[in-house]
Amino acid sequence: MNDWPIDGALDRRLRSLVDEELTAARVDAAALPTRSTTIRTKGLGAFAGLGALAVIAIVAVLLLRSVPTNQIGGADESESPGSSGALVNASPSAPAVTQTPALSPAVGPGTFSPTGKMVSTDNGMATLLLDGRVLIVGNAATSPELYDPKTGKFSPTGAALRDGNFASATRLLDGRVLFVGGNDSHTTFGTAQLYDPKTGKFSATGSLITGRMGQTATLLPDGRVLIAGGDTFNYGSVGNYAVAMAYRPGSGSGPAARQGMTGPPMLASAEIYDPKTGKFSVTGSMTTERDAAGAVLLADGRVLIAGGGNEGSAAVQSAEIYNPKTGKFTPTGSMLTPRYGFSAILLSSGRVLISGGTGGSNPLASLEMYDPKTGKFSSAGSFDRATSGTPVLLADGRVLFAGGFDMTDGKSGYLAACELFDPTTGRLSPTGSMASARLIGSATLLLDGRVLVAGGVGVGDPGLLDSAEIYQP
Amino acid sequence: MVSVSLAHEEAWPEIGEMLAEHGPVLLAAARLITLNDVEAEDVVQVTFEIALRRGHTLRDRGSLRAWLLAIEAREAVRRVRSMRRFLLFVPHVHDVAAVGPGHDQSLVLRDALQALPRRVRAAIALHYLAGYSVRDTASALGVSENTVKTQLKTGLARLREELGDE
Repeated sequence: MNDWPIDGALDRRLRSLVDEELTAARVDAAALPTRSTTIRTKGLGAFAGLGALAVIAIVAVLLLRSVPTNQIGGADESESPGSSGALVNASPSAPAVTQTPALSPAVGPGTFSPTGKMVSTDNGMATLLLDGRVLIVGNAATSPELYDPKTGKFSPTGAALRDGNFASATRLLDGRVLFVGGNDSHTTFGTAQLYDPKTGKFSATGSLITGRMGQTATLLPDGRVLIAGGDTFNYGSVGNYAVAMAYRPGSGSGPAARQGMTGPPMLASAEIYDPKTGKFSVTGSMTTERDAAGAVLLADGRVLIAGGGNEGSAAVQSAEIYNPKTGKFTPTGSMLTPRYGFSAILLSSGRVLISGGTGGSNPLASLEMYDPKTGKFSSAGSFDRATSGTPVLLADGRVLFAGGFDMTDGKSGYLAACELFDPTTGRLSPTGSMASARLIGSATLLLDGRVLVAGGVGVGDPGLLDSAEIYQP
Repeated sequence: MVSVSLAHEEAWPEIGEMLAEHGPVLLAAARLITLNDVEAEDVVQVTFEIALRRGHTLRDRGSLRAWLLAIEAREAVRRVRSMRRFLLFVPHVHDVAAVGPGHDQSLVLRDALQALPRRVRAAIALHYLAGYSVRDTASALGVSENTVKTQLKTGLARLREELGDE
């Protein structure tokens, strides 16, 4: 029964309209390849900038409809000839592509060797502890585990105080690890917890001013932690009944009480966590909302925050600098490509390597370099394939990109191949391959210079891996 | 340093195919709410993007469609504000093909819907298209049940006036 009484005539007409829309939408969705040109023309003619977004929409829908299940998002934007013109109008084009030689497995100096199996496939954030062990906390925060490089084994450690995703993990100067915010399927969290490696236990600490997920968390030189951006978006949990009823409008029965979506989406606000007081306090706000931005502590103690998703769910191109002394954000140069969900790594030269992420539904192959001296971003080349694994800075200053997805034409699937980026030459080169092809869950530089690559997603269903490998540079 | 990975890919590789499956119902709902084909496709795209970024947070994957519709309805309503920045007050051109004998009637109904505020159309779309109860419509749109009741009541009354039914 509906909660709302509806008169017969209008009710029938509305239902008829709904049926008509559904029929038309099914036809249109099936015929998207032939409609894309029309939309593009109309969009550019009548709707200027937003029309181009519609082209992206069509391209993305097409890609989503046609790609294999393990190949999300399709090819890089620059590889879609049918849309490139419009896309250039909508946003700055991707940087010039520096071709790298085709990779052949098992070429290069580095090698991988297997190590112990993870306790759980629920792998996520990895944090190197001061004693050399690695703390890994996944989506189910109640089952964190520790990797001990001396024994090569994973073992369970104390559970977090509640289930759900943590949004960030930051090792403090005293060795404890700060977990902030996050979410479950109902809500975003305003809480924070500390993991103490000495006791192996989690404990509660101060609460965020604004509960959030997808924020950046950066350890400042004075031991405090900058928490910036993220979003409060809360999708709630709407029951299965609506799924069943979607094609039979109005015939469903009321579901049990369920929590809804609340709150505004993306955040520009930032907070500071002080381990001495265990409390969060407000600091300056960013110039724009940024969800899943990239942040890195610069050599001079300031923090670079770049990209992210803004309130319109579009990728952000701009970047800004946080000065801990003044507590203020100020704009710096913009990235060449808008992106979110990417990695930012401080190199030994003081410059920052930007890699991966997406500008929407399409993974980005391009690399960028930020120079704090000039405040500008420049192209640092590009991968042959659209996605790579999470990068990790090696002790010698090079950057390891392990695994990922092969997105090139005619190929698809997870990669065992790995690449090294050498900042001195600015080039990518192949290195040893992993035993298992994977989009890695985490890559952690160990104290002895080796790298722990753990978990991730690989071939199979559901494809969540519990294997781990050690890279010897 | 902070690195953020594409969590949806790691946790839910098949989400792309599932999104495509729900494309038609999302497109239909977006068209009802926006009454603008181009914008509707944009809304669907943004919905997909949000889903790709946050899909891994959805524990009950069976409720994907309802989740998507809720995201979409909020996005469609919310973006009215930002749309004004672009001065998109252009004549509405609806190119959905005529379907069935009641087509003339539905055109009249579309015009009548145009006179309603977007959030009222969102409430009607969720209620009729997805079969949401008042409570769930309120939940999805982030407003109170009383607000939804008022929107449906006044919205349907205005439709009746426009249509000259009763």
